[in-house]
Amino acid sequence: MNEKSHLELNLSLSSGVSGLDEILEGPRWGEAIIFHFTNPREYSSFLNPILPSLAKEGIQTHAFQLQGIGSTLTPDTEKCHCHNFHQQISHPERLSAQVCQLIRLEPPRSFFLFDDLEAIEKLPGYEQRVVELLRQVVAEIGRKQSAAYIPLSRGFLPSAEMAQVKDLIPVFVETWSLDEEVHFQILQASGRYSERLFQRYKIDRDSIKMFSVADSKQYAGALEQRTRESLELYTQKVHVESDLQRRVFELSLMNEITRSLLSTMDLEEILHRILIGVTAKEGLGFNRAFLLLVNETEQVLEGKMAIGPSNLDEALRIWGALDGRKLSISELAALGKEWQRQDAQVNKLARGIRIPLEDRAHLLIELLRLRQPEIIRPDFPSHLQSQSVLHLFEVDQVAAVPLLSRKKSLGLLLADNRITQKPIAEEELKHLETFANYAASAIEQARLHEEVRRRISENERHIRELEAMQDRLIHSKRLSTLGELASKMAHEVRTPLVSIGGFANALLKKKSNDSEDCEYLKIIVNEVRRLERIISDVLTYVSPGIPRKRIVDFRRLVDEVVMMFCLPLKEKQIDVSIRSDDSPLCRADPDQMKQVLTAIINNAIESMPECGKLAVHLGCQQSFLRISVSDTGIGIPEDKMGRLFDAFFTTKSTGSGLGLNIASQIVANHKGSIYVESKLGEGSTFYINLPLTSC
Amino acid sequence: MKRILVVDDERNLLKLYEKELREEGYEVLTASSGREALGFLDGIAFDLVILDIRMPEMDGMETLRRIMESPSSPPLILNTAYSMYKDDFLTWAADAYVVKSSDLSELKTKTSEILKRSSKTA
Repeated sequence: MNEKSHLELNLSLSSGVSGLDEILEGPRWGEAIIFHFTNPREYSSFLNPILPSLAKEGIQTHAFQLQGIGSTLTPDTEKCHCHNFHQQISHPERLSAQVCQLIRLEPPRSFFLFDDLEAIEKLPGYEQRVVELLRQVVAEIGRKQSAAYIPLSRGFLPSAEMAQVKDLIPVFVETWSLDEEVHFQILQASGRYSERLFQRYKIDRDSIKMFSVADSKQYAGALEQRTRESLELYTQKVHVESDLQRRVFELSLMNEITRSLLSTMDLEEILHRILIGVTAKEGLGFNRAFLLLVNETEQVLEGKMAIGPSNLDEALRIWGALDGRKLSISELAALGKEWQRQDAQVNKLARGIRIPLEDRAHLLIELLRLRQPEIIRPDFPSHLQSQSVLHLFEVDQVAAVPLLSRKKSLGLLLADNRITQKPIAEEELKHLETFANYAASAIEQARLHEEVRRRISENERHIRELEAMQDRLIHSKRLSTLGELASKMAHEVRTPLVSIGGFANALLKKKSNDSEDCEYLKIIVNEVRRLERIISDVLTYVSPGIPRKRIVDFRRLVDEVVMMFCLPLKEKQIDVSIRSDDSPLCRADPDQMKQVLTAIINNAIESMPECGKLAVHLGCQQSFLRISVSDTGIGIPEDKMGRLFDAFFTTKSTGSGLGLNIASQIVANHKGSIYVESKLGEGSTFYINLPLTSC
Repeated sequence: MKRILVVDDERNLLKLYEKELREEGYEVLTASSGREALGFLDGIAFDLVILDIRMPEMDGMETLRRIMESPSSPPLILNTAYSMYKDDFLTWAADAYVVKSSDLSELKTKTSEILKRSSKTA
């Protein structure tokens, strides 16, 4: 049956390509031929010739369209029936079922022309589905004794699936094209044994020619040319890639800068990152980078920071460590910090730069003024001073770019290749300018930020002050109400106290000194005195009187006050010494001054255990009278010193906590000053200075 | 012997001052109101008047003014629980201003000072 069909086929079926039938012994009924192609033209060179010959033989021809209208692989629709399976490209099973059904429904010995299967969507697992489709089609063709041309583009199926396809397909033709020529080689054809079968051929104007030695040479030459071209393309690609890499780096730097401007990253960090960008291989790849900024207050251009290795050894070590590692900017920045410490040399160099802005002859100042990026070379046209700059950096070339912000020069970004000595290209200067712009905007932003923060804190301070003022107002209002009450009470209490204390004192005088009653009476007297002092403090605090000044003999005043304390002084066996320079006279309110001295001396006595020493010294010093009161008491702890003169502050269990506050107020009203020196465990000295003249 | 008139509405205080000043060697008379004091002053000569300010009916200030009206007014000490009257210029007419205290030494010192001064001028 097979033999018979073969004979028939030989008589009736032609490929249409002259010479191919001879080689292939003709396509046979029941066979599908796969064309493994790269360029669709290769398939067309087989497809187009067969159509007229099929038409001539009156063989029914069907075309399966997958790519939709306009597919180059779709034959002339007038010569065959077209079936559109465009909708099924995402369902290979459905496609397979419909195609097979069509093959089955058509009479035997029909010819089926397939469209490029690559139109099938590459959904997961598509490979096996395509193989399955081919298996079913091949089986159906065989069963129906029809024939089919199936194109399969190279690379559509992985090699494992290609092997399966080769196993199940009767005829497998490998095609490829070089320029305008189409070449082919029949890799397998079941039941044919011609030697010519497996040679390489080319299709030359619809006829087949064998692939000659000359062809081989030409082919090799073309291949070489192609390789060269692709190599060139590759170089270009690498170039573009590195450019792209730099751009990416630049963009991520920009992104980082933008983000950091919104975050709390400080200016130093941003500038450091920009310098990293200038020196990193992924960035501009300079050896060293320096940042000089204008200091407005001191009117100088000064070195702010720098990075880069100081010698070849260090450079090799660092670059070696970085080689082949892809690091992000923050990783690089962290690394940069690591070697910034070792970088002392560049930083020393940078920080040593300090050029007055008025030094207009200086090249760097001029560049700052010109606002032009420049590469400073020994032959720098406009300036003799390029030498000194180059000498400073110990290089032949330095790229210098101004940091511009709204037409103002904030500073300069400098970069050089001290280690590699690589000349600086104009293009690199342009890239450096981009980085300088980032730096400038970062600085500008940071300054704005700082300004805004300053304003905010100023406002906050104002608000706090207002609040404090309000608090004080409320407080003073409350105090004045409270004060009225206190004043009324204090006055009312004062009169009975006079009776109690006075009579106790009278009784005391009658008693002999050692009697028990005498002790009790003393207690009454002392306690009444204390109450009176508290009352007097409270009253003064509530409504301090206007000082009524007259000439006061402070020696007499001190004597009087000390006299008031004769009882406790005697009891505690405190030694009192009063020293004064001649005529310690000063204009003051005697009553108020008495109150000051009372508070201070009372304080001194209370701070001393038994057998202390109280020393009062009065002396005129230049323009003021100084009164010092020293005790050998317990002293004042340092943390209490600051609050000593605050109202209601007291370390004692007794007392109003007002005495020293009132004293300081009175002294202040006299335009004088009061302060204290104290040593814990050794004693304290209070100093009162009263102006001698202006009072 | 110097004669002193003490004016105060507090009887306890009068008792105290009378006793203490007598011990100092003065002849002491007491009045418990301004009106009473003026009555005394009408007929008796005093070397010193010690006058309280806050009193019912006629207060110390009024009494002070009345006393001062007389051409032969004696020296005067204002003895009060209030220190604020010091700012009233009328009180400046007094020879001394003493804030009441259980410690009578200030009052006594001022008393003896003024008496000494007035006996000198006399």
